[in-house]
Amino acid sequence: MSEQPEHVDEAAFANEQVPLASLPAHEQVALEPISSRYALRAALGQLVGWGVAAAAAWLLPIPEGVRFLGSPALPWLLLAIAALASSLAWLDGRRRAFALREHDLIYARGLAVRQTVIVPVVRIQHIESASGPIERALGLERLTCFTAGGLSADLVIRGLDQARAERVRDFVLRRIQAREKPQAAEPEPEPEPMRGEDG
Amino acid sequence: MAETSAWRRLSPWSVVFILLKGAVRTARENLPVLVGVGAGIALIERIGARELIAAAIAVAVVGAAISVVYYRRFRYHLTGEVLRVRRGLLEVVEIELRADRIQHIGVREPLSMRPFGLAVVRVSTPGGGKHDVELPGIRRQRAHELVDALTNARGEVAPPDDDPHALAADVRFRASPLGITLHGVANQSILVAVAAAAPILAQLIPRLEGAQARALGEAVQELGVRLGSHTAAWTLLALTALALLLAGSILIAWVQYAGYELRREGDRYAQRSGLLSRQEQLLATPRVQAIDWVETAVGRALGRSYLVCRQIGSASKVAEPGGAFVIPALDRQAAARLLDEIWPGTATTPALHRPHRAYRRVLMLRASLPAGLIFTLAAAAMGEPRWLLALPVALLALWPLAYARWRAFGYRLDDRFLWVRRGLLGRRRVIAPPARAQRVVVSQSLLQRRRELASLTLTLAHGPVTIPYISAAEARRLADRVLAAVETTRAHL
Repeated sequence: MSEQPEHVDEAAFANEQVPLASLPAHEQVALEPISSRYALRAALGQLVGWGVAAAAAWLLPIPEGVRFLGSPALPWLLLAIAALASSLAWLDGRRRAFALREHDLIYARGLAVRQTVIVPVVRIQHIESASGPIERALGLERLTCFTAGGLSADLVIRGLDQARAERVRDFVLRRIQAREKPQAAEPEPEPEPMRGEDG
Repeated sequence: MAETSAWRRLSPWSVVFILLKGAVRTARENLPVLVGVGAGIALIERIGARELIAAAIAVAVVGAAISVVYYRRFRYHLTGEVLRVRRGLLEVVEIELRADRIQHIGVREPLSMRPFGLAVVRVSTPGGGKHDVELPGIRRQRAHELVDALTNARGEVAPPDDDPHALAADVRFRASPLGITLHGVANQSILVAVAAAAPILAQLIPRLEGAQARALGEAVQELGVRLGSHTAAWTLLALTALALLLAGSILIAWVQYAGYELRREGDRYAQRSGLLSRQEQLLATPRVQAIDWVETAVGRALGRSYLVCRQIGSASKVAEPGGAFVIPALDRQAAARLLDEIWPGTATTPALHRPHRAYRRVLMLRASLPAGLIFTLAAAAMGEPRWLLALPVALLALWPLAYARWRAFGYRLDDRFLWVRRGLLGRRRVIAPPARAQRVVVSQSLLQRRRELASLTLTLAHGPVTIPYISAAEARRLADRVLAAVETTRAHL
């Protein structure tokens, strides 16, 4: 790296960054699978959604003159979609994985289109944890990370068990706090890595 | 630096503007309803004109009362580097903004406020629209004091009050009248305006009397007879419409950018422009997240382009008047010179890489799906299956287009900058330091996995930038490079 823009201060950081071959490679990180209960939650979610639609198609009176909605095959079609969607969601849920590195969060998801989302911890402005009724029953929690400027969440990590979610959240929160009050916390901008926490 | 230690109010005149703004907003939000009511004159007949006037007066009185209460409750306060704003009608909200969190500062002098010497100050934070603050109507002098105080607290050099001539010398760019006119021609902002007004037009056009449409048709017919050719008459009509569009676009460009001036003040840029309403915007150079260098198709032919300097937060939206920091009406040299000034080393676009050849096929497929749909629909609508025979011809014609689009796409990532260029006729280049990325996504579809390809998406301040269909190894390598850049930078915004 020759001359840098003035806002970049490489000296503050000792994570060997050059040569390129020595850059930490995100694909070599052993991603931890998320909780195995999440696959159940994802499948249930799809099943409930499509199942309600199927039940509605079966039970509700059919408006006159709408031929397609009147077809007796419609509830069955919706049920078939429910089965397909929930099995896909289950498979996707089994394959989701995440990792917390000292400087970023990695989340891999998707079946047909496999996505690896990486959000640097320095970019996280705000982190939220939440859980719906099914998730609570299964002891799961989802973490939502917001970065600057984005109106929607930039990373949603679903399917962490509560203890792990709490550890990740605390780690990120501590980093945000250290960043917000650099003078108060310590002169160096980055606190020590906490890799041990997550195995 | 004008440090104020007590809570301040808006100018009393601002009551009028709060009322007007509220009325306009309410009207805009309920426009379909209003149009519906306006058309249903039966309503007036039923309830009577007197009642209607009474209702209007009642609404106006309530609106005025609300405005007065809002004005009376509105307070702002600047101590050191914290701007506090207290506002609200029933629920009073107090917002605290630390100067170093502020991303975007703008001062607007709407035409209606200029006789009163008032201005609107708007500041926004990285958090998005929810925490943006607007002071709707304070004295112009105070607005500028406030802006200077805030930028000073942010650690930028504000202009010295005693020597305005020193600043005049540092004008970095001034838009010429010709430049503004060409900018209008190149950008067709009227189309945006028409698109924005589309919901209203959709309401109004069906209400046009058939007689009016017939009258237009007859007028053209008559003109055709006089000219001796109907084609000529319709061409004339089309040309007139085009000329009107052009005139409208030029007018919009003039209203927005007349007297445009970009000055450098220490570590920041300030731009002023506006024919009727005047706006001033500030851009702190270290806070620039990405720059879009945009050449529209017409603009490329005219050699005109513009730069959009992106900051974090809602202010990055171009659609909003005075939103993004747009440097308009640039010719190529001026654009390159300004780019190089903001980020040294960006004057010349480096040699760019192309995505994998498989991307051509993807572009082709993406273009042919709508084409197939259009031809099928056309064949179905006209009841002539012959139209479907034209489809293969159209698809053949799409091949070179897809190829050209693939060729036009280019990317490069080095230690200092990410470059992404795209667009066949119009051209857009995104330039951003990789350390500014907010999020990195590597994605692989089934097809991509079979060919060991991947797409890399970087989320920047204003949205995602995708480098599609590069080798998977390259995508990962670039992702790691971006991450290393982000994680070694100290500036977290």
